Amino acid sequence: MRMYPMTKNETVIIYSAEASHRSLVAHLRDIINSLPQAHELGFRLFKRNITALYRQSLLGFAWALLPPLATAVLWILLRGNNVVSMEETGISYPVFVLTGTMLWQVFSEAILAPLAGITENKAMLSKINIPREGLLLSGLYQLVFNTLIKIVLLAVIFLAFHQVISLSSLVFVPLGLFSIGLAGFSIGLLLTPLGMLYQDINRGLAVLLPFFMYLTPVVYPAPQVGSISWLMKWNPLAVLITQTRNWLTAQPVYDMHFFWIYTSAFSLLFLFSLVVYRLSMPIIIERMGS
Amino acid sequence: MNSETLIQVESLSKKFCRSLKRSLWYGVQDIGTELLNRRKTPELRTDEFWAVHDVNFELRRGECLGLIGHNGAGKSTLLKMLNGLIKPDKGSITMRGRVGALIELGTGFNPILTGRENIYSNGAVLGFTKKEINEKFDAIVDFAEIGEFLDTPVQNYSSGMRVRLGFAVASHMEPDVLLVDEVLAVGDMGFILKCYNRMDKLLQNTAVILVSHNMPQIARMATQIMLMEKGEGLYFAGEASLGITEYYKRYKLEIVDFQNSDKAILQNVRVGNDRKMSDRTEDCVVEYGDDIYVEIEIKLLQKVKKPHLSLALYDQEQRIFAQIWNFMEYIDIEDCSGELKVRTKISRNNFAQGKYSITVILSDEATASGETLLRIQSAIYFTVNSKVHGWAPIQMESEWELIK
Repeated sequence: MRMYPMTKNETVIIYSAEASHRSLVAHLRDIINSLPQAHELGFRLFKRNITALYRQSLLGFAWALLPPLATAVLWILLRGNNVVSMEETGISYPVFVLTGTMLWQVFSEAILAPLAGITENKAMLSKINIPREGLLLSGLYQLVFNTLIKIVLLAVIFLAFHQVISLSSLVFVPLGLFSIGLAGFSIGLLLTPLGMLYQDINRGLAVLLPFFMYLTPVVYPAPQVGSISWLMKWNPLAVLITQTRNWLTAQPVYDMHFFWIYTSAFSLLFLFSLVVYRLSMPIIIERMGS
Repeated sequence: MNSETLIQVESLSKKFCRSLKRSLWYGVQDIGTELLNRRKTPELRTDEFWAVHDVNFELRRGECLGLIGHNGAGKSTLLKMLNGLIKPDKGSITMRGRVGALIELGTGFNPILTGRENIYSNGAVLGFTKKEINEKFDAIVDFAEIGEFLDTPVQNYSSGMRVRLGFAVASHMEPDVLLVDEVLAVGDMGFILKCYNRMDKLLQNTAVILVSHNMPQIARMATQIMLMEKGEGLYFAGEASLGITEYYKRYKLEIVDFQNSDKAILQNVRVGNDRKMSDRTEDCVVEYGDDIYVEIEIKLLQKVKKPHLSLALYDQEQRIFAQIWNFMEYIDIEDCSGELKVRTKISRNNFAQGKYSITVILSDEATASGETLLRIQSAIYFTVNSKVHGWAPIQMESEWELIK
């Protein structure tokens, strides 16, 4: 599809059977150009979905917090009663584990956000012509919204446990959050076209995500030595979550170069997935049925 | 390309797959082909078929294309391609200006939100900015006539109210190109008329593509016809009436065998004009203004006192619009049995373009109410070829004079 802006504010659109034969960069430019429209739509959808979601719910916004909270409480109990033993974490364990589960939840929600944003508004896709990136944005905005709620809870917990913070490292926390969110969103985005065709993706993610949480130092501190310490270096989430947690709790950070490598890699993955999404959506929509 | 031409379609084709699993797999393959910038296979793979094949037309501002055809002919697929929802497999579409669609009204609605909130939400989905919606808000609410329910959740609306709201929002778009797909199935008469008026107004400044099974509506609004059948398109530029006649011809209405009673049998019926009479096996076409003759042959199985034949004329939508009830004024038989063959002449018919059927009723005027001895619904069909086509099957030829 090619669009040419014309004089007198007229646009000419050409739909043809030929493949677009354009570079990745050209597609990205197209996407950026359609961003204002996509944002307008995405924000409206986000407001609409949030309002609807919480209008029919008693617990309201608390639902964004329950999964990580529940996991954290469980692990506090397990460790507190010596059912499970682990290394010292350097800070009070409840803060450690709660920060960990919250950050993991950001990742987990981010992976599911693109597919969720589209599935929620699936009916629209095959009936009206809308900027499809808008649906992604609505998922993104919902992710940001939920993350903000988590931050509020974390602030409360920090106060309750007298957790020490340092402003110089707190400024890096947004970077850390961005990185974690980007990691999840870019993976989720890449899986979205397939996920719309085959249910296996969604089901697979539901099974694999909890599994991977335990392969990441979320509820336990990263082991520096031992047979699976290599996993902690090569698992991108291990690096991203540990760094962010350390920034939050004013602990020293190591391995910053890994952090930057992974963040750049995920950024590239995100841009690539975005173009894949744009090109594959028309093909998927016609197969999805109305 | 003329500067006023808003839509240009060339050799447009689209294929679909019958089997779901194979279709999903082809989807994966197509994504791969698209990403690698390769040529797609233009021919049909296993289980695929052409939903739209080699369609060509042009449309200017102020013109209306009527897209007609039987169910499953490819009309909605063509419309989806025009709307940019699915990609063509062959050919191309060129559209100028803003495109609006009255398709599946109310799709952007969230049932939990109120009507007011949904106007903003649906408007945004259709491409309005918030400022534009604010400007048109009052006009939209006025048109939809749901004033008192504006702040109730949409899930409490009836389906008619939803269509009203959806139509109100979509029709205030002022697009350059408008695509309309059979939206007015639900809706009371008053609102339907309002919608037609609105579409007429929009038509002045827009190129419209209209999909409908309602032939009077098509006849009223379309300047061109695209008749779709199994994906192939027959284009009638500037001669909408020809297209509609062709559409009627495609409909081989079932000729049911006569369901005769035990009192009488309808043996034969013929209809035609003074040039040709046809029986049930042939297509009968007469011209507007012709004298129409109907010949009826009945065999009475019992003795009938004062037989009375009446005819009822039904239109395409199986609505009765005329009756012939004056048999007794011409043929008065005291006692009758055996064969009865009669002919009637309808002088200088004033029927509008369309296909009509004749229902034959034989009754016995022995009793006051006249017991029905035989009733054959739609005994025979005939088509009237006429430049006049309108809402009503009968076009009265009244005389006019200027008083002032």
